[in-house]
Amino acid sequence: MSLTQNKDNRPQVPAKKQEFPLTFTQRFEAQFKNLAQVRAFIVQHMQDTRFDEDEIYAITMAVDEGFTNIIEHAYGGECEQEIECVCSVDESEFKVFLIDQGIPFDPTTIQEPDISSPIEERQIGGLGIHFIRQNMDEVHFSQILNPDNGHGTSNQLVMVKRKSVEKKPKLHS
Amino acid sequence: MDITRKEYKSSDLVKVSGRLDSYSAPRLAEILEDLTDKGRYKIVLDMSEVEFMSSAGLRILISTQKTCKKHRDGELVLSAVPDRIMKAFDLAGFTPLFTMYGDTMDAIGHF
Repeated sequence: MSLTQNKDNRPQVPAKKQEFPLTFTQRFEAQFKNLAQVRAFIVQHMQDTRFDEDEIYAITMAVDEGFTNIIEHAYGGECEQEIECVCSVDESEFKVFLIDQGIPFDPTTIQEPDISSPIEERQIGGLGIHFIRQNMDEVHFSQILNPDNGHGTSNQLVMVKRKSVEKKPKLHS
Repeated sequence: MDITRKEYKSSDLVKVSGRLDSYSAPRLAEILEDLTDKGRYKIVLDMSEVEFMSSAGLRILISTQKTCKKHRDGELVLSAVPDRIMKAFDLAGFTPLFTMYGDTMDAIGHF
């Protein structure tokens, strides 16, 4: 596909009807060094959608935080196990499933950090899930049946972001 | 992620560029800890070329700020924070905890 650059250096997709929903999936080893690839994977596939740069940035940040949480809590640190990233996007909604085979860890049960306390009392935990909640419209955790897994279930973190309503409709030239 | 540092008379300038995530944040932590371990608590962090920052990056900044503020006139001052990174500071409620300058030389002049 030939891409042209506008003044913001953002690739412009040629006028072509994108077929929705788009789905894209990839497995990544549970290593922090893969975070850059995970974010690039999201950005690459979101270029052809109606989500704008700020929305895509917010999504990559949430996915980065979700991926990090899984490495730290479900797998107890970096390891050779995998995290599967399954995405689906249509005109108005982006949905990502992060699936792992570790210890069930439901980040939605983590207490919101106190973001107004003075610096001496400021806690450094819980910020990741705070960003996920702020950047996405829905966050759910569940365990799904997986007969291939030794303990019979996988963990699934689902995050949804809806496209914000356009404030300024484009004028036809 | 790239990190450069420069020593000034009354402060240290650290410039971080690129992506600050759980993979790269420990390297920034190492540099900042190296400074504070040497008793250098007046630090300017130039963020003008930070493209991405997750909570891992914010954690490093808050823990460095806590260390610096325990010492007389010590502070981690930020400069040229890009809009998107600024939004993360706002979401985390971190904005009131840092002095920020648009221009790095002004930030150095803070000390």
